[in-house]
Amino acid sequence: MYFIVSQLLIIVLLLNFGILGSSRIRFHIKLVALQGLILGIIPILLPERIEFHHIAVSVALITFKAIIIPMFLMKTVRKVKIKLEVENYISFTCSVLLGAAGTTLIFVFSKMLPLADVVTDIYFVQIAISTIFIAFIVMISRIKAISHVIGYLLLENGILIFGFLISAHIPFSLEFSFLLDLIVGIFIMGILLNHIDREFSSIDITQLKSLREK
Amino acid sequence: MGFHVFLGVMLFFILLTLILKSWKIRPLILMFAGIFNMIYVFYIFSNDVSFPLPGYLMFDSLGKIIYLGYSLLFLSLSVYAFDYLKLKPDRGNRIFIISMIINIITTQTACMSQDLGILWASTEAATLSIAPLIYYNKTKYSIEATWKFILLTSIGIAIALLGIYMIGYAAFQVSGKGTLNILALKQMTTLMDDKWLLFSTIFLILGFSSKMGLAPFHWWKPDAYGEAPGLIGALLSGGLVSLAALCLLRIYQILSPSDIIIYYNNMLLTLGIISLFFSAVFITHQNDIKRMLAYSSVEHVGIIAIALGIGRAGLFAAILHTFFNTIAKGVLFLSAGDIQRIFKSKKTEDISGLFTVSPIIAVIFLSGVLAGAGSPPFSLFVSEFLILLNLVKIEDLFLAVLFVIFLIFIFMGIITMTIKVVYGQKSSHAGSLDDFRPTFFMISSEIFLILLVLIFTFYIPQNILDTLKDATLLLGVKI
Repeated sequence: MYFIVSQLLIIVLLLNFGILGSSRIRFHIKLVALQGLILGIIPILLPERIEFHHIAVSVALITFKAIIIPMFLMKTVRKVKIKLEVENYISFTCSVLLGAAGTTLIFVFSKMLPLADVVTDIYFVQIAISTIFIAFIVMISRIKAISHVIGYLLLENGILIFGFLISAHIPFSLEFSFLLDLIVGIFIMGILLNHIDREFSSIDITQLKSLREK
Repeated sequence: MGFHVFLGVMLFFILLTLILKSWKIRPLILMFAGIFNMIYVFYIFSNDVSFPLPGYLMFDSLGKIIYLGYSLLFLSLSVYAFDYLKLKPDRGNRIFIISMIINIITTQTACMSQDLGILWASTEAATLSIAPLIYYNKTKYSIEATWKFILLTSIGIAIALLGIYMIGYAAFQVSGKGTLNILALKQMTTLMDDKWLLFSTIFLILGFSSKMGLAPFHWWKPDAYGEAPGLIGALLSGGLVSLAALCLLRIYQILSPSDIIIYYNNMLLTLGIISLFFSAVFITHQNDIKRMLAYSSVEHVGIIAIALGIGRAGLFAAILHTFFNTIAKGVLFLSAGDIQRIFKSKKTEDISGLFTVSPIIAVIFLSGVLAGAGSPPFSLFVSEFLILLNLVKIEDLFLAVLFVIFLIFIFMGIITMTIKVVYGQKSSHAGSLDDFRPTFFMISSEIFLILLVLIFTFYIPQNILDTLKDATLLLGVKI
């Protein structure tokens, strides 16, 4: 099982780079959905004996991360007619290189962290932290508001990967609270996106600058 | 009367709000919720209440004292809202009232939580419940403010969750059994691995300080406070800030036996000084009263952070300052909202001569500003003075001098603007009081808060004082 999980996590890592390196928003949403699906499978693969609550967590994760939220985002994209190419402050090549450099450093230095189980835990830590790192690159470098939502989803995915480390030992309150907040957060963001569209002609954070110090 | 009774009544209020068709009667529900909550708090303070799940939800002294401040603020806000909502018949007030009630439930859960996971979830829920309230005016600006608020605080809280996972993992390494219970974690911190604990502390502080609005994570603050209705500004700068302060205090509680506490102190000291710096720089050239108040809030969270950074000696002052700040901010934002309605603008160039237009609001605003600036005889002076005293006591004279200089700059900035607003020629923007006359409920709720700020300087009830002492004892300091 461990072999499968580590392979899945590597796919998750590659998907991060897919988001970093491509320019199409619909493609980003699909990649995030795929990432959500993979992360949703992992809770079933982790434990030695599968109980009901693992399946419940897995189903909930897949439902929200892979189906509802991507659908919601796709709907928003269609409804508000966002231009389908993202715009960057830094070029795609640059952001991919930055992401690769960061990930390498994280893979090197995370070996120094003390782990409960050195063989299995290391992948989780490395991939979690590099996903969070890439999420920040996406959020900082992209101009469109919807890219910020995608960056935020990546951030939550990264934290979830870290959460797998302790999911077996801490009662599932955390996972659900996490999920709940994710839903509500994205929900409110989505509503806001709609209203922003009504007020501005496009969703572009460079226009969100009327409030600032003169 | 335990938490379930409280929860039941509040859910009943929400249901009632959904059912009632008359928008005129609905604000009454909010007022009842505020009054009922206050009674509940008195009940908690005077009785030993048993809680069904003490490992997860239980009022301890620290939670009680923070919740008392929040409840006093909320009571006044709910009375104010009764007339405020009548000013906006076209807006609809269902979402407003429901969000406020959800905010009170989640804040109470956060104050009660003995488990980092629940603390985290309820703080996040309290934040999200405020988002529709910032957006209440539905202008182009309020959308921008809400967007920034949601995005930045959500990122902050996500980072805090990472910190919580890390401390949970460190606990799992120690005992082979993960836990997020605050007391259990506290017993383990000395055994935990330093690296994990340090990373966890960094992420927790970054996360919660962005929620609290400490510089340099404060950029959402002037926008959100500036665009939200005055009422909600008070809820943000009083309620949400004290919740975030509670989270930081809880982290202190966990870390107090370990060596990592030094890093915690130094980080907060640095963030606090940076906050005072930003506040001093931006407050002097401010031409918008609500944004000025936002920077005043940045100042106060900076002061709280410095008090936490001092360590053991500053804890009492930190709790005291959080408590007083919650109440004082209520007066400021409520009266600023009134001023904005009288002059139909919040820019200082449009506002002057408030004293000739509405003397009572002028007096309230002036005393609110003096209280917020920490001048005697208001109670914030006491806590700020205590903090200064402790800074001198730990022999950090450089910081003490810096602290005083920044406070003087901020004081001058606020007072210069206030004098311009309150005195001088009546501005041409001033509408006649027939358009908007502050009602009895509005004024009395403001006076109630300002009196509280004043009274606490001279007299704090024994009951509250004991709780305060017990709260610092909980953090490992005996006074």
